[in-house]
Amino acid sequence: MTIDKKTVEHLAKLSRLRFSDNELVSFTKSLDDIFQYANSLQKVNTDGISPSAHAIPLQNVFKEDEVITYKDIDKLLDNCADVENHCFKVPRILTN
Amino acid sequence: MNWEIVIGLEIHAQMSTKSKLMCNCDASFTSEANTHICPICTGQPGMLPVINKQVVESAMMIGLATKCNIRKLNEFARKNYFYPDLPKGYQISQYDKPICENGSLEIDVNGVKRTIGITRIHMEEDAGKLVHAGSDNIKDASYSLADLNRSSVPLCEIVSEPDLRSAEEATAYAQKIRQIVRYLGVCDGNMEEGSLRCDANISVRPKGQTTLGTKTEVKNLNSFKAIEKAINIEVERQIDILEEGGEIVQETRHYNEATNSTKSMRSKEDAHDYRYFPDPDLVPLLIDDAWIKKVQDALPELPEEKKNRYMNSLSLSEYDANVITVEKETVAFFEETISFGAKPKDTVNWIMSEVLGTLNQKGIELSQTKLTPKLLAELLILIDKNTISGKIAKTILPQIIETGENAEKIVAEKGLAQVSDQGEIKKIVEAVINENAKVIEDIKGGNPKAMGFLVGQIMKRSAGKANPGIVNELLNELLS
Amino acid sequence: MNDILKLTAIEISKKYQTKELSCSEVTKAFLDRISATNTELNSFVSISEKTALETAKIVDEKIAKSQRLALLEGVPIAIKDNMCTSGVATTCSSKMLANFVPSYDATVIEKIRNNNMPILGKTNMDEFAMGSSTETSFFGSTKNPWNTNTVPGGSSGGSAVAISALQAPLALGSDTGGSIRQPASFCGIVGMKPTYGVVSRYGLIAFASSLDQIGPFSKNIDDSAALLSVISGYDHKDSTSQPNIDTDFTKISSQKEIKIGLPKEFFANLDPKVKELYQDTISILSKEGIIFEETELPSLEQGISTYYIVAPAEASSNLARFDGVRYGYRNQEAKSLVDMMELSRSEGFGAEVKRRILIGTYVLSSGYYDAYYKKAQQVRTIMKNDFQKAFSKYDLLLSPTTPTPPFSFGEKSNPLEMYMNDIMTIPANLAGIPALSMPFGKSNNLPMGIHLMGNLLEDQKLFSIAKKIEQILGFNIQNPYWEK
Ligand SMILES: [Mg+2]
Ligand SMILES: [Zn+2]
Repeated sequence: MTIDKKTVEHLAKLSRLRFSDNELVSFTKSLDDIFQYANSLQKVNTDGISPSAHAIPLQNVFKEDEVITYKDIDKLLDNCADVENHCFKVPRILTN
Repeated sequence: MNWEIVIGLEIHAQMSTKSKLMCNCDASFTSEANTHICPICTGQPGMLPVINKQVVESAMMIGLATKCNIRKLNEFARKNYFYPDLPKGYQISQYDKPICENGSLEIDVNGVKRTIGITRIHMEEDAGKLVHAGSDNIKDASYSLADLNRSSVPLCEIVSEPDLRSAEEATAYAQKIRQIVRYLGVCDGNMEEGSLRCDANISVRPKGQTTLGTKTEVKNLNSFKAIEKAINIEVERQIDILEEGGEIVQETRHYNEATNSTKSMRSKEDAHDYRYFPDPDLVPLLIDDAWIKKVQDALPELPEEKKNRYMNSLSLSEYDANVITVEKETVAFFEETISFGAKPKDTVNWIMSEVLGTLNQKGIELSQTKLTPKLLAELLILIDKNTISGKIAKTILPQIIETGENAEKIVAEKGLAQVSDQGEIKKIVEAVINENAKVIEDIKGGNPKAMGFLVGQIMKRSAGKANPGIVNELLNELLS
Repeated sequence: MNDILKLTAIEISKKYQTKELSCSEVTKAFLDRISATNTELNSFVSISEKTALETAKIVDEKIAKSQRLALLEGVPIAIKDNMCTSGVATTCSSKMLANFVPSYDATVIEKIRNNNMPILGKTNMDEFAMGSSTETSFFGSTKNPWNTNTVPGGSSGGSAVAISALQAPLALGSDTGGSIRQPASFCGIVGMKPTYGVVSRYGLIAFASSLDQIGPFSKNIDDSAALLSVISGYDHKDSTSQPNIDTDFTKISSQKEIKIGLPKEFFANLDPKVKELYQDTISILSKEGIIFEETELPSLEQGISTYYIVAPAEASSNLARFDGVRYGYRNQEAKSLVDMMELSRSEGFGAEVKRRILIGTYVLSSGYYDAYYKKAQQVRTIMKNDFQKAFSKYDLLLSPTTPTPPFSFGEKSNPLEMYMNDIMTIPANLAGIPALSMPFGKSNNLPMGIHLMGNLLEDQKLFSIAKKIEQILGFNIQNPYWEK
């Protein structure tokens, strides 16, 4: 599998990034290098091996169903670039 | 051509827990923006989720109530996409390992019973809410405001098989789901506030064809009426296209109740690939048989079970058993009323017609009145003991509802007790016979209506209190 | 130069108890050192003089009243700038978070504050902890005090330099693929990554959730064990936190026979000088009775490939929250939501962060998930099994920390070449096992670290054996910069 510019453009779109042509070329090159290398994984026989999402198995970690009110909501909003009516304001959503 | 309609429903039920799915914020509805938020549900850097145990049990309850298999090894996954109401840039949900699978539900449309498959039920967190400024529609809004009160509120998504064959069936199914989650007490079922939301996957195919047609997913069905109307209008749209030789585009469509139409939600910017993967911040959830049994044992009696029990041991008709079990509150009222000695059949009739009728007129709910099951039982027992007639009982019910006084007291105060004294009634009967010679002749001439008139006159003179049985007995005796 | 600066944390603690030193005096000495050297080294992105001295005052009041101090109470500390500090900017050395002020403390910070340890400041790092040289910081690179033309390693370069240049007696770093151990090696100090889950990740700005772990930097093993004792413990706010652990890591367990495995897979790409030093060290330690044996863990060869799939996958998702909506950098000119998000992210993130987001997005995307992400997670299972097998035979596994001596700025311009630097350190993160780097010699007057890996939850045993090795090797941490 090789990585081409079109793939990187698609990945950029999925991850909400935007690149200049030069960046696109450079990321395509480095991703291709990296995956050429990482393809060595394909030769490992993993038949019947279950995937590990965690380093150490733990299970059934819960919190109890109780309400704890957060006191510093205004400080949370202070970090927002644009607040209106106690809400996070964003530019218009659809352009078409 | 003859078309077959194929519908599957996805119902999002909001779990009525105290706190949210992944943090300790209040999960209840509030109209004050961003007051039920914290660093976790606003996706602040470094914040971590922890699962609310109650949500797991609620999901198990829904699964058990719909004959699902409960998965032993559960996993939470991230569904990745960008939207300003989704603070982390992903939704914590379940993907290929949902907590409940392979269940079913029986629906009844006009006496025809069908079993509808339930594919899966999974837990997930809700997103926040966007308010679009300068317009009520997103497209023309000049900007939008994100309120994250709803962010991370727990949902169970209940996905049916494409087994539904009409808008009516779909509506019946959704009503059944609502009934069950309300019986279980895990969701308040309030569709207006969005506690129960429904998306429909709709396709059509020529009758007899076994493969599925291309489907569309219709969103924003906020009432049972909307479900029915949206499905009908979308089916019509699809058939029109197919009959003109066109093709259905697989897409998401938005139902507009005002215009009764569906509209494509596709946008040029969309590139969909949710990149699900197991959430590394959460650990697997293991459910063993003992836990399942504990939840199973604690399940309340469900509508279907109640219905059967009422038919078998209370001798209610299927119709009566059905109507009384529709709403959780009504059935609870019913059960308590009969526990005070009222007769089941009479109780059903009285609740369904007199009580709910009176409340409807006043526009209030059962829970808001002073009428208690005990008060209703006392009233019905007075009828049963012939202390008052049914007619009198109906006249005093509004007063009981209003004041919470017991029937015996009202009857005594107003002197409404039925008169069963033979001598007293006989005086009235004789007087009425004497005053209506013409009517007596009619009766003897064989006119049955005349007899009714006579009884009416007697009851009127006794202010409705005369025991009708004794009246009839005396009339027959005196006229023969 | 003030002699206080050369003291270890434990020595400082002792001098508080004997009232030879006051906490204010100590704190002031380190703050002065930071202000004298930070322009050159750029190891701190922010300095919190006021609150540090306030904390010191509290400790001094306790000392004055002859109250007993807790372990390391009053010992100043530097914090990597990816741990949230309430009311103090937490930047991850990124333009994205340059102005972000959290309203909450990370659990480790809460523990540090409760223990009255003056926080000197926040240290520089590779942007979002992605890098091995601290060259990707938005605030400029950090210099290695051994030679300022040399990188300090990364991503916790600032914290490692803080110890190495005597700006702080203790520091916290985070380690996702070697980000504590590699800079510790390059700076001639001790850096330790605990077993996954021993330290809470709550409030640590995530890079790769299943690999990230906070750990201590110090001058020696004793300080490292003491600091881990302070910051570790079960945390109900972190679902991956280890329950029921003994958090006293200062206990020394002595064992008669120490058996150490040497993974063959790590020998292949060693720099000749590193190899020589490594072999010399093994023969010194052998003479002291430690038993060494070459062993095979075949999956280690897949470490880099596995890591550079798993870590970016998690990162691509973890970094999705930086969308300009609620906090962080926002492009103010954007006219639409998508523009705002794309421009904010493109302008707010540096190239390496973007590269990893792209890699992660790719390996999770439909059609590639099984071939990359799932495959890597399967290899991860194999690697965990390989380690379990090895630890049934050996107390520890040993190798150099890095395949090469510290390198110069700009020397590794090819990303893949940079990634290769982590070949020895990455497997410990994938398997969750504890590991540390401690100095074992010099090459061209630059320090080199030796890397010890222990079995899951045997952090205490790792410290015990490391202490023994420390005593045998007697490596002198002193570097030329000390006399500046
Ligand atoms: Mg969903
Ligand atoms: Zn919250």
